[in-house]
Amino acid sequence: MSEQDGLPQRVSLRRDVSVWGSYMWGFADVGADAFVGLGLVLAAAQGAAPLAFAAAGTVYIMIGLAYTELASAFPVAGGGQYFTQRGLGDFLGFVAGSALMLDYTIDIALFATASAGYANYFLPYFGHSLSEFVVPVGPFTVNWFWLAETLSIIGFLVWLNIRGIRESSAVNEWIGALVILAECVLIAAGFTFAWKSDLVIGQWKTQFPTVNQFMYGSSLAIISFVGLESISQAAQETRRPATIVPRTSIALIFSVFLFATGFSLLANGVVPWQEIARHVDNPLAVLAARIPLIGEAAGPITAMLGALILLISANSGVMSVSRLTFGMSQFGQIGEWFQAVHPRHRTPVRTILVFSGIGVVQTVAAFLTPNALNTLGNMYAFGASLGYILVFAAMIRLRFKEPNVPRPYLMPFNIPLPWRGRRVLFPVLGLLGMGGVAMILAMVVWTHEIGRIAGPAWVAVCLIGYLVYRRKRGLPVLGSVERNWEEDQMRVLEEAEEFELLEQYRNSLASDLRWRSREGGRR
Amino acid sequence: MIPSAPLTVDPLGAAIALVFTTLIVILLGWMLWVPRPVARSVAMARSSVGGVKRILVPLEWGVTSDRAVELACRLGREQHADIYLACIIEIPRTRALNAPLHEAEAEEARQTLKFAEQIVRLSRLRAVTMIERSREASEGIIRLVNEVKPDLLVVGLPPLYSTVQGLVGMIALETILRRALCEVIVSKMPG
Repeated sequence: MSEQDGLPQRVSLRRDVSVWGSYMWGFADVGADAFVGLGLVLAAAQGAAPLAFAAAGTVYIMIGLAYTELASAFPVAGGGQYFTQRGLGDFLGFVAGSALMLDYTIDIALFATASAGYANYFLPYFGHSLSEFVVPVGPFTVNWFWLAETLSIIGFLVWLNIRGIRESSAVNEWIGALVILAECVLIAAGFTFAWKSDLVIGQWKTQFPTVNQFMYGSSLAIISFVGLESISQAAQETRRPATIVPRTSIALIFSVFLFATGFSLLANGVVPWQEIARHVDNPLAVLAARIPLIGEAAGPITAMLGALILLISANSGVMSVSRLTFGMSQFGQIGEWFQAVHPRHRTPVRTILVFSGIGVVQTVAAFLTPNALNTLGNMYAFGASLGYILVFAAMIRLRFKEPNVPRPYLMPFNIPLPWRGRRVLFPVLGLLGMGGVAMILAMVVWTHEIGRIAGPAWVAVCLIGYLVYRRKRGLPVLGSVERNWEEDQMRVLEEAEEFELLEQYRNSLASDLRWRSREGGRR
Repeated sequence: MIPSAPLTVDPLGAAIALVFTTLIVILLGWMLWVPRPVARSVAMARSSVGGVKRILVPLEWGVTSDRAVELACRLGREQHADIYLACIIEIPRTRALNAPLHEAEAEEARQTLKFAEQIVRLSRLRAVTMIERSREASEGIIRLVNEVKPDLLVVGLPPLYSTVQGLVGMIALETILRRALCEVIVSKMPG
């Protein structure tokens, strides 16, 4: 940032994320969930775990398609918060932003902790065990070694993100490619050499969960939504986002769906679900060890891969929260102070430092509880569900409010409706998706003890801050600041070098204006 | 140490592995194949034509208008444009403009629209038909342009510049070019 005149200089983010980098930002979040969530979902949904993943995946696909439409049409930093603000106004935009902010900071804490946990798999190789490092701190017991590892990881990621998106994106790309390759090998080898259809059918028939267990399992599987947001967050730094984002987003949605259902089906066909449930900390390692031919090496390799994928997932959290808050700052929802961009690396340095710092606080607080991972995971789904409901509502509203904006990708299943003298496509799937996510939010509030208290409390605290800031600045609290979205859209498309879309947009606006003025003249 | 499961090859499992691997390869391959970027001037040229979603074709000059309809269909095919077919009937000043049409006039208009609609259907586009009465063809066309709000107007002209009919066509055309609030393409047959 240059502050020669005492004011932060408005510098745009560098467009440096390639097609593979964009995909990997998303995969970093979603791919990691298989390493953490498979055991939890199997423990809850038992013989019906593949069905739980498929049910959650259906809603997840709808969310993904909505994000694909919005991120390709509005390729700016901010993701769900920006879409909600543009569609539903400043206040609801902030609500969505605060919910997603919670998720990303938890994301940093949760995945950095889990990554360190996987790394601890190798402690016995050095003659140590994790329990050696537990010390009493007042009324609490803390594993100082695990905590120190986690904080070191967060520190490393902060440094990496301040250095620039190219560097952090490159880390994602290399590690992600390795993880995808390994996951493909595990699934292909597992199904070919170890999978037994009789075992799947037997577990389905005799180990089917109750409705409540199934719902709980589905709500855990839903956690993987958060990865989708990362592609939107990186859209402002993606080269030719309107062309690349729909491809990476759709590829992510379906590849993750394939991996999630594939692993759950594989697990139910290789071992009884109870065996995976006993190793909730490391379910994939257990599963991999069971695969003939590759089983012996699978334990350490899976642990290493788990640590790596969880590391880049935490990296996605740092990237996403910094871009989200950078965008919110630009729109007057949080202080202008956060708009500062590093003069050399052109990264939002202050948002990276402050919100990663919140992640550090959450990590330390979680380590004071008996089970840090469980505490963090409990809060994870609340923010995502709340944010996604608002994103669906914004997507529907924007179809009517800004029909001129070119949409390189349109959600399927639309009903044409006449609206103010033009034809607007109403997204039926968007409405269904909103209902689906609302059900998930209800399940989360019903079943997640910490999430139902801490989640709304976080949003409430953020809203108080918003109220104070807006009043101090003399901005409307419940209303919205007047903005020229059309000019903003043209600038974004121009910067992204999406000239074809820019011309489409200009033509559409000009045509609209011409006929509107003509209509006015005739009256 | 967790023991490996015994080596068993389930045909269904092998099939799932094959399908899974194929789907992942196809999905990632499709994602990585990104179309080349387009230069601004190219984008402007493309979008100016691609933005044509509503084309109006006045049907007044007999067979030449059929060719104009086909031309409009070719121009609108890629972007699935709607083709508005308007049969213009010039009413002499000796008759009231809103007087009922003669049966022969009405039948001729219906036939003209029917044939034009067939041309549009062959291109699998949506046709909207209408009959417009006016004292002068050009006046009727301008009125339709204001009502239909087309992106493009395609006018077919006969190859008769030296005759009186040709002269009238030229005057009408000049009026259209001057007053129409949309792009105009004139299709004049050679001769």
